[in-house]
Amino acid sequence: MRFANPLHSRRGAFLFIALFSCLQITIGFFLINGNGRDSVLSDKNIRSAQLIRSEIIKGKSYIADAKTIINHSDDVINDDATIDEEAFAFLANSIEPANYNESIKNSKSENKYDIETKKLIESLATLSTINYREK
Amino acid sequence: MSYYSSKHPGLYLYMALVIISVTSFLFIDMGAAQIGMLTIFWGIFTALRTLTLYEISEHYETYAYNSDVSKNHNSQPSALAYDLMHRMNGIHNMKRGMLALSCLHERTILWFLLAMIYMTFQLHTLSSELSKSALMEDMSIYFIIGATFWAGQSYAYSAKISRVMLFIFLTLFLLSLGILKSDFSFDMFYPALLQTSFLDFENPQVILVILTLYSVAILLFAFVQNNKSAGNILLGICLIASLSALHLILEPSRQASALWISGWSMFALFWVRAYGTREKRYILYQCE
Repeated sequence: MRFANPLHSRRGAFLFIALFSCLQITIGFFLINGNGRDSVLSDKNIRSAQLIRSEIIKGKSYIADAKTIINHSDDVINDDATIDEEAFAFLANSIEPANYNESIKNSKSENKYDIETKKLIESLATLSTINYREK
Repeated sequence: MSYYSSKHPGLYLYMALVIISVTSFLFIDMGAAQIGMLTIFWGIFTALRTLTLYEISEHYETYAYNSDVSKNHNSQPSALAYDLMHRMNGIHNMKRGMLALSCLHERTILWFLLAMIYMTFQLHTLSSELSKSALMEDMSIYFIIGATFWAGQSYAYSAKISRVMLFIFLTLFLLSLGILKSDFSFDMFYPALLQTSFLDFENPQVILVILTLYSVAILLFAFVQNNKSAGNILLGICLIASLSALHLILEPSRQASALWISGWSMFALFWVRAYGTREKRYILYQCE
């Protein structure tokens, strides 16, 4: 056969392309499911709790930033700008996943749980921005 | 998708996928889910195309000479004629498929190895800054660009098809250039060129430069070997030069991927046509 032989030993290349496209299909599914990040957490409660905790961590980093600003530039910030660290600690403890799941069990409807989550996130957001606004 | 039953299996699907990906990158604000969908489509298409080429490479003789069409048509009076016609068409299509296998040449495999090194290097340097999701999105976009480049080569064996493909991809390229006009900063060209330190091996851009130079070197090598496709080669070098100039002056964004997809799919045509044999073969048929 004149044609068939010169390109015969391409199995490695075929396998490589096939494996890579399969890998990409998997990545595509991950991207669709949960932005590639939180797809492992199927339980909605745990997921919300984690979201809130990440918000808290963000807020803590805001506080750290504010602290450094206060320490390094006295003329920019007034002396009476205070950081409410206690409020953060209180919130962080109250939204530990274990405690939070208990409180969800006690609440009757899912609607109420959503409202609570919203409130918590809003309060965290205001807490984390207050220190900057007071400048 | 088999060459036995179709002239150019999957060609329309390929063009539709390129058009969909370029236009969606240009006109839609692409989120992770949309990029994921596109990646899945491209992944499935690439897997199918690989299977088609594998069929040609491994089972060419079996399919071309031992078809079982006659079993289905034995009861009909025209069974023999039908079977013969079917086999002849099958052999013709299969021969086209043999030409499609040139996309698995060593020079292309080496190009992909360089591109993979660039991708892993860049993802490695960015991994501390970006989130996991953003890294996966970047990897998917690189894959889409690579898949268009590779699959484009596998279809460019026929002059007629490559003319149609060139027209479509050029339109897409000019469209994305027109839409991204505001993102270009021409004043940045010389500073960016001067800042790119070609000997700094901690910078992934170095591998991109090597990749570009490799592409140009391969085209020049083709020029030395066979002067008949000089036009293709020169156009290909112009295209790769303009793509690398655009890389310097264009601000990186999601929309910019449309430009890379259309540009690299267009380059695939020149890349493979630079080696295409233009001469006609006259084969003497003999009865056995």
